[in-house]
Amino acid sequence: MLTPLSWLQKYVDITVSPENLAHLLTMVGLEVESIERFGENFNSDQIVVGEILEINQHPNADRLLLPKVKIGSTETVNVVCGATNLSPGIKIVFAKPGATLFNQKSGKFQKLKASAIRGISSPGMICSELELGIGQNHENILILDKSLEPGSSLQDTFSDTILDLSITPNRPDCLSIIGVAREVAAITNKKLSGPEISYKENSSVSTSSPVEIHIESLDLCKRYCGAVVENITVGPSPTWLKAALAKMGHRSINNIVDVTNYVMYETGQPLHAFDLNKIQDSKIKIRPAKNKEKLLTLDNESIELNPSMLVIADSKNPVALAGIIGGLNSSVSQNTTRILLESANFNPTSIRKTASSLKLRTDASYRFERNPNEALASKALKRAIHLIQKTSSQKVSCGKIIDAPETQLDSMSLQLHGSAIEKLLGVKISQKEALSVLHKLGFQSNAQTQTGPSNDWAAKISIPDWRSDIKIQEDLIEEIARILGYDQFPTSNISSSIPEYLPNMPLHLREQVRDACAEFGMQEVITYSLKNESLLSSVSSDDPQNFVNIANPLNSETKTLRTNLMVGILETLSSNQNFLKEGPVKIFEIGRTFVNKPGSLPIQNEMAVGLISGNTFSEGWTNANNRKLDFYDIKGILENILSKLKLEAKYIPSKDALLVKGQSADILIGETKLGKIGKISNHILSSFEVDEANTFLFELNLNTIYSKFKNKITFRPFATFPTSERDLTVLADTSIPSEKIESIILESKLVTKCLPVDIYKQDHGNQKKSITYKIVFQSPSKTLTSNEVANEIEKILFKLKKTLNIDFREK
Amino acid sequence: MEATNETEKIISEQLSSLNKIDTTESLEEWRVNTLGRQGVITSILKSISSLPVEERKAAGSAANQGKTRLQDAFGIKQKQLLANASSNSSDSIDVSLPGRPATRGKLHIVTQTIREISSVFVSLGFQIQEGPEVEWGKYNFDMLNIPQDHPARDMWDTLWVEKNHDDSEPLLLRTHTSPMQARIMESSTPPIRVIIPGKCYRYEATDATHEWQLTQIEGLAVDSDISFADLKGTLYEFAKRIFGQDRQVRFRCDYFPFVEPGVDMSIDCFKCSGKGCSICSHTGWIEILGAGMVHPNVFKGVNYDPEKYKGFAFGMGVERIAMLKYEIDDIRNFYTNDLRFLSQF
Ligand SMILES: [Zn+2]
Repeated sequence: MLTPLSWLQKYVDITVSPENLAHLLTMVGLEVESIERFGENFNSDQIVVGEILEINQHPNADRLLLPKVKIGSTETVNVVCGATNLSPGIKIVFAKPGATLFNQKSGKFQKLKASAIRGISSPGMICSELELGIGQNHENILILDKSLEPGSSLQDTFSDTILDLSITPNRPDCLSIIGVAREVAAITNKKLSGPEISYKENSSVSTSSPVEIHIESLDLCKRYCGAVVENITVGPSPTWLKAALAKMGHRSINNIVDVTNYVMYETGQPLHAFDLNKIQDSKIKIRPAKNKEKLLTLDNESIELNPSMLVIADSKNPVALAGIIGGLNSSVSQNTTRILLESANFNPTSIRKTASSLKLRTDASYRFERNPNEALASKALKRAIHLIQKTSSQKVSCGKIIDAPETQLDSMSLQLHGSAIEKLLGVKISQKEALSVLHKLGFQSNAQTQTGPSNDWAAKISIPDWRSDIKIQEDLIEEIARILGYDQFPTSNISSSIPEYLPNMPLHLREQVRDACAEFGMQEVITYSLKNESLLSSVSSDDPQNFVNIANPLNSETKTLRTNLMVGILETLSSNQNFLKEGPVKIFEIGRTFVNKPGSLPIQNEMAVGLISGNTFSEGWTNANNRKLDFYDIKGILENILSKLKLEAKYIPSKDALLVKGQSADILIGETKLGKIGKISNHILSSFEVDEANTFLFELNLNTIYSKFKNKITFRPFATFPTSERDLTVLADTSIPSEKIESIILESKLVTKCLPVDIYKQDHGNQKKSITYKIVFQSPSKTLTSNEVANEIEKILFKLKKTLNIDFREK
Repeated sequence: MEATNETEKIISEQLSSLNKIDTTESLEEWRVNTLGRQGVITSILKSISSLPVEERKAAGSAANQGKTRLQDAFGIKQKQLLANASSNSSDSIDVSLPGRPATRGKLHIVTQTIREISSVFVSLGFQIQEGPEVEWGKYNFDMLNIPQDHPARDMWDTLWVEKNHDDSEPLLLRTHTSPMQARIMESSTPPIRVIIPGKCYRYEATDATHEWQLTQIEGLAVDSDISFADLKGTLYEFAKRIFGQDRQVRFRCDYFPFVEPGVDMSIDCFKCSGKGCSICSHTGWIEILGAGMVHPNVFKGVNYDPEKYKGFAFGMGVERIAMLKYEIDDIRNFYTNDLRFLSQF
């Protein structure tokens, strides 16, 4: 809400600086986003009123004129001008050399220089709104009131300071100059004065221009005030009105339409003027639109209506979309002689639905959506009639205001208790102080004798009609608190008891996984949860039928919620590939994934993905052995993570299509699949434009971890007798996983550790591999002799031969 | 006596070999051979037990004296070598060269900031909970006193989930973490003191200060004697711990449909100290979070008696706090994951 201080000043005396005023308003909830200076260039002697005395043709250019301009009591100049709306006798804005004007070519404000145009010197310029920096019109020069004196300053009219207020949706009353003035009066302890609304009523108008108004649904239109104004002459607005609208960023249209807009900004009540001659049978019907009915709007757009939309219609057709925009055919034009002024109150929900379904947001719909005060309709209408009479010729006559339906508005009231204030704010406020704040804001009160607890007080508070947002006692308490100032209230520490502790195990475990991932060398990334649907389906094992899609996506790249974390991690690798020159890329992400579940919220499981890519090389002088990262690098990281959670997993060859067969595994805990690990297949890498083939990942379903995690760890005494180490080399089929051999070795009660230390693949024809295990023997009860160890090895070898057909291999 | 002479002889041999030593490596070798656990001195001492009783005392003292002499000589030699080492290039290394990179990772700056903020509230007795990112419209709006078709809904531009059937309840990506206020109150009784970190989503075009995906931390405290003063005290404490003890904190009126009174908390601008700059939009103050006393309609929606219980709620943007703390000038950095950005924190 733009608020020019000169306009505000009409209704409240402002004695503080604009900066201070902005601060005060911000503190009470009317946040000032910026303070702007408007028409600063008018603050100089170089911009003055000029009068066109005569207009001559430029001798060297057909399209240019050479008007003679009076710019002082005796001073005249001849300047070159290209505008087409010049005529002798009009008053214009004249800029002398040195004036600051907006230069359309450079897009900047610049000092005007005296110059020669086509051989004729031009010591100054007749200005358009754009050149003056007060509007967008640059085709025509700005025409001023005839009453202005040549040479006089325009500073008071155009120069202003404007506060840009951000008005929260609960304060429709502050979408108006009066509303803001009311707040200013309350916080600076000043008197508020109201706008002049007196006007002359002519009873003959009801016979010369009878109008019939019928509201079909009082739900959708609570109140409709109308007045007929006859004998009007449509023309340019007076200079003060043009200036006022320019400050609001609004284009001047004509003296009638400008008044309706001016009154809207001033009071918050949108108004509309119809050309009464264009209203069929002078009948106004406020009714739902018929299906496929059409309206050509003021913006020259044809819109198709439906019965959910409310229209203002004459006896035949819609003439306006109620509360949103008028129709072009019934709008005020140069030829209009009599108008119907409308000031109504429409159902906010209906306006909002219509405006959003048509994507047609106007100043009027914005205000009606916020449920402005019903009482405002007739006040604003009177103000508009007053201004039309004031700014037009004396012939203008206005009929009686038609107010439909004729209802008494009930004033609302609320009970306020001192004890309630104390309970909510944590501090006692006296009745006197509380009521004095409310009175400043226009509330009225009736103090009551209290029957309850002794120290309490109570009062009945009447809510002023413009404060439709005040509905409960807490709203009143907020009014008191914000005007007294939140900073004035005490602070304390919560004294209530600390709630019972509820362990959040999933969160605890997830954060342990997160820490472990970073600890073991990976950088955490967080990617967007929404993905491109086809990219997602290329890496998802889920049926696209089960994807959760967005109905109104920002774009196709963000249409579908991820079902796994692969897309994000691969995109991150792809966009960071240049880092592979400096060393391996190791990244991980933890986040939610989403799978549709009809009739309920989607399944929102948490997953973790880790990825490594490149080789062990790292840039720098220390780099000695450079090799490609492999499966065992990623597996090592994963094993570390799982061991931190005290989980032991099994790895069995995976058939996952996204991973390279033979270099990938499913990760199992017991019989439950926890995730997968392996080398990413080339076709996936290429669809993410990743060039580095040595790329491995693991993906874990954290919800499985949450369910498998056993919190309890019991201490096991450890043996203290000496250990004996032996290396054992066996020759096994390549198809036998080492894990199987290890588990057989570990079956021996005397073996405490079995670690493969060397693996050597035999000649390929043989399909054999030789593996050397370092085996640690230890007895819990005594020192083992060499013989005992040798015997145990014999037993192990026998078992290996028997179960897996594995041979011992002499070194 | 023979044994004692033998000891003397060995000691002098060792001393002379010590004299010839000129590198730290050979000194270490000497130390192990002479004074080590299996060195010559140890074997002399061990051998004493096999001597006749009358010789033992003299042999023992000779051995111990010899050991002391050797230890002293070793100490002197060690100092000499160390003093030489600084001028002796064969032993010294260039300590200015970068060390061997140890692989490590870091947590995302958003994670770090969530943890930092959470730890403040945990120390004030708040517990951490989380909630669904895809949420029913009911929890995101209706139960927070934001009715259908209310203009306040414009405060949260929403990404809606495609419906399975026309008549299914509206699903959306939560626009804030506030739905958890209603969910938590629905499923528990006061006293309540929780914070809820999590991702939120908005239908929003991105620029340097706007992102469609963001992270919020919500807070809620409810009990029979929670007041506006507690709200101020708690959030004041938070602001000081996160932004420094010297910060000025300002509370002003603001509007959120689910609280009454509504609060905006700002801190004085750390960049310009209140004079006005681009970070604080020339106001001297920077908005940190929104808050307020829980609206009675929200209590009624979860069957709490608004006369009996009071509470305060707050919500803040994690990225915004991180941007302010680390002077990050573009919010889009957070989720584009350039490693040059992430590795800085
Ligand atoms: Zn600043």
